[in-house]
Amino acid sequence: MNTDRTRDWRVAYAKQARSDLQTREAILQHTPRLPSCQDLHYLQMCCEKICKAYLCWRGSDPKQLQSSHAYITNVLPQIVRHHLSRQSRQVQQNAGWVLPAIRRLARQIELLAPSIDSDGSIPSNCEYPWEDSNGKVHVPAEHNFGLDLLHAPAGVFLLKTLQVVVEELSSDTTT
Amino acid sequence: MKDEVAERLAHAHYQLEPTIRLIRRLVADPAREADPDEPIKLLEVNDATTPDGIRPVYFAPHPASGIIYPSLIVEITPQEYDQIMKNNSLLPHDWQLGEVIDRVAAAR
Repeated sequence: MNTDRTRDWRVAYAKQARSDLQTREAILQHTPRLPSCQDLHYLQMCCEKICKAYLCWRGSDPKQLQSSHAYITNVLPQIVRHHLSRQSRQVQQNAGWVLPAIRRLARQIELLAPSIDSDGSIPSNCEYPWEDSNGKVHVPAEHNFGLDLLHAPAGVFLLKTLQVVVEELSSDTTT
Repeated sequence: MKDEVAERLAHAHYQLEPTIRLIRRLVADPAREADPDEPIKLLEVNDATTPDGIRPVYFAPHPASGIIYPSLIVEITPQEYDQIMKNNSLLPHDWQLGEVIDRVAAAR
């Protein structure tokens, strides 16, 4: 069910996701040597909002989406699958390896949010310092998150697809 | 030095994604390319990508893997590459097509 209200929320989430993605790109274009937590933070926020925009487009109640950050693992692969489903059969065949790679990346991106810690086993996040089980305090700006989209299969594909999907879902005319 | 790093990155990408057909440098004017913060720019023709136009995606340097410069990747389909070959002006920012980095050269 796509009411005016869910459309408005879909567009709002997507526009904010676009802003997050543009901020990531601006950071990397103009200050590319900042700590990686900064561009990863905007990537995580973009992905979270584009997932919520997609769920609104699929008819979810926007109110139900506001309290959680835990949508990326499940929804980001759905978005990519939907994007691929509109391509030629040849592209879909060639891209058979893309979706499993996106699933791995989606989980890694979701874990960047402070509220997602895999039941306390992965407290690292892009925003706030955290303390590990040995009592050591860690700083996001000094942490290696082990998420390197430049050297990850489908890393480029994911970033390109985000650009496309934020445009589509932020359009008032998308049905 | 930038040339070596570009080849290293191209090699890594050929190995990561076997559906990449061709990788080619994109180059800005020489003054910009002399700036260490001007990204290495690679045009990657990939059979597994979608025809979404020329959409540069940006990356930070990654010194741990020897990528000491920022980088930018434009991933396109073979059909989009044919269009660029016919009309270079499709490239943004006055970029020009640079050398092809083939798998063998990248692997050296």
